[in-house]
Amino acid sequence: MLKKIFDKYFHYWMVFPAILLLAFVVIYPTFNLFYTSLFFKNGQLGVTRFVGLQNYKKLFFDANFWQYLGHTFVYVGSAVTISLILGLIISNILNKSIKGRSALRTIMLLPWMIPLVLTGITWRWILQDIYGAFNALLMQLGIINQSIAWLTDGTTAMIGVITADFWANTPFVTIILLAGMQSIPDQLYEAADVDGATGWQKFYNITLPLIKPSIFVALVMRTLFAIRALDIVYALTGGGPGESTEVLASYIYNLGRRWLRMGYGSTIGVILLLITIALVFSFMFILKPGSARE
Amino acid sequence: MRKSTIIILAVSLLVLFSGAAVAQDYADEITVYNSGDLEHDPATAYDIKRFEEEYGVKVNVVEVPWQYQIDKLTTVFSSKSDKVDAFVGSYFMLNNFAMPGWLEPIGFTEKGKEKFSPGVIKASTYQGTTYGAPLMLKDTELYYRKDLLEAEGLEVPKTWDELVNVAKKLTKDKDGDGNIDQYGFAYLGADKLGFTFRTFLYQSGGEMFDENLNPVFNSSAGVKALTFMSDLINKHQVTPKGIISMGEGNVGDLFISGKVAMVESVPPLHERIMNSDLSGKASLALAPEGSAGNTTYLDGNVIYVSSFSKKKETAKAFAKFMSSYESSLHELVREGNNSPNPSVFNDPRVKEKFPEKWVNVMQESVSDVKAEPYPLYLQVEQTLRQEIQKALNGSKAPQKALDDAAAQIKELYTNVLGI
Repeated sequence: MLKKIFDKYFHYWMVFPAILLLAFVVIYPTFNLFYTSLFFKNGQLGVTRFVGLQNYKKLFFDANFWQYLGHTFVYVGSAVTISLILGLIISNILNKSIKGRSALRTIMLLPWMIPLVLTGITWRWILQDIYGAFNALLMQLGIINQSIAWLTDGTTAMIGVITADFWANTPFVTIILLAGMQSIPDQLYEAADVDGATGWQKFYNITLPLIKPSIFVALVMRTLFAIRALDIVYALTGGGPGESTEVLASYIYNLGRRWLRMGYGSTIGVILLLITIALVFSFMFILKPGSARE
Repeated sequence: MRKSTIIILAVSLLVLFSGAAVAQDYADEITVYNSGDLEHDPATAYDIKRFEEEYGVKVNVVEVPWQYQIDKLTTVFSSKSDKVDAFVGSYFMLNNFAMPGWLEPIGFTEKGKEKFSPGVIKASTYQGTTYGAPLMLKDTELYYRKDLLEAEGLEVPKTWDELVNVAKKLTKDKDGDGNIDQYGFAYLGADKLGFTFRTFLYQSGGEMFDENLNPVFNSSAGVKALTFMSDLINKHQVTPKGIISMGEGNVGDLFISGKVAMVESVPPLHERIMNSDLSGKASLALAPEGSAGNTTYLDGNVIYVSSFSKKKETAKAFAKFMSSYESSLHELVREGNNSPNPSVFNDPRVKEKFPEKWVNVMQESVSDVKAEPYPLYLQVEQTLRQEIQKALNGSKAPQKALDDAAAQIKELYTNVLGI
């Protein structure tokens, strides 16, 4: 009898450890995030009290939240879009039979290998107005004749952060897209050649539809990385000048880790999680993964 | 047995056992979080070794960048962990850690406190109890290129107005390409922007908070200070714009590399100058006076002992050892960090190391330092820095920036502390 039950539910027993692990590393922290968001918690004062949805109500009137949400959309939208476009171009080049392709593929990965904090510090030096390499380059090319203090203006500082981000992360997108391109059978391109298709037509009608699943993966992963990015922002601008480059991830870090306002920090964490989920679902809807196989 | 032998034996045993009792008072090892790495902290490293040898206590040092020290320690202490026995932290951290009860009173006697500058003890004291053992201090001083000033026949500026005039004459486009190659003056920006503002605020006669913790830095003195900082960049154009994102190290680089002729910076720059090509070409003066004098903001390090430590007595002994005359002296002669103990400047070893004029300037400068410990330092500092940056890059008028900062801090104190 016992053996019969064991055999009947054998598959459940087999996946049980995995579910337990998943519950431990995903479900519990997520639940805890929601739970904590219902409390006023201040670690410095040692105060904890249940406030229900008060933190969510407060969030609607928090000017910082809305401002940093806007910065997050600008940052994530720009960095992800640019790295996707660049990734497409570079992977397309690396997919061709060019001399030194293997070496180029390895070199291309270098920015991705560097820790993001170092990337931030490096770009801070590059963008310095007095001894920065970027100003020196622009001056030598005759584009400017006066040093520009890139990191002291809100708009140019945000451009700097976005630039450092896509510089560091484009190799990741390239690798994913290149893997997708290499899985496309050569016969399709040969057939297109026979039909007299141009390079653009081949890219648009063959490559692009067939790497849709790869684009989806790259887009989702990049968005996840960018939306929670903290390293580059902190190392490059520290959120400044003013709060021009503060994003939701840095706000959560400040609230939860530095100021120990765990309850309100968790509330914004919940909202960021919901935004992320919404974005992933919208990518699924737009790109309809799997359509390439049909 | 003869009487004298018995007495000698008894005294020997007493000494032996009392020695053993003292030795047993101390733990075998303690864990200390240091602000920064010991490679750049040779005096601290040296004195820790001395303590280990003299007390037979192993000191496990955890190196933490100062910018992240509050974050890390807050996490440790909020969980009531005993993994940190003591830490080398800044004066400004006092309220953050003393208010929740995470610090142990250091236990100085009144006489013990007298050897330090009064401003230093005030900055280490929270609600009448002293929690910090002063290790070193960073006051603000004017570092200048005496060769450049002499070449132009200029005197060292003693007031803000003189500073502007001298800086204008030292700001130069040397090769005529329309780009400034040498700026006249720079101050500390980035994460030290709030410190710089305080120095100019105090020199204008202002204060950060009143006795009820109401922000008052948006007073006319505050506006004067911030307007001066902004004018140096935007109106007089004697200070590089990029200073907004440059901290202590970067500004030191500008001075050492000859890109800036004068800087208001903090003492470790002594050591860099002496070890650079500028040795002999650069000198030191008191920070130029504002309308209310030349008080400067007190930065620097103290040793705090954790109230969660299970080795409090050993940690306190360590803290007191590190703030002793000898340790302060090492901080000064080995690292160039100013001493919180004014008598150290009279030591022959200090006079041997530094030019007499420098020693006089350092001694006078440390006697006029000020810090106002207040709660929720990190939030206040970030808010203040953000608004100062806006004033400096021209996106807000100084009055508006300070009013906004004051309103945000007031709201923060109301919401979090119920003040």
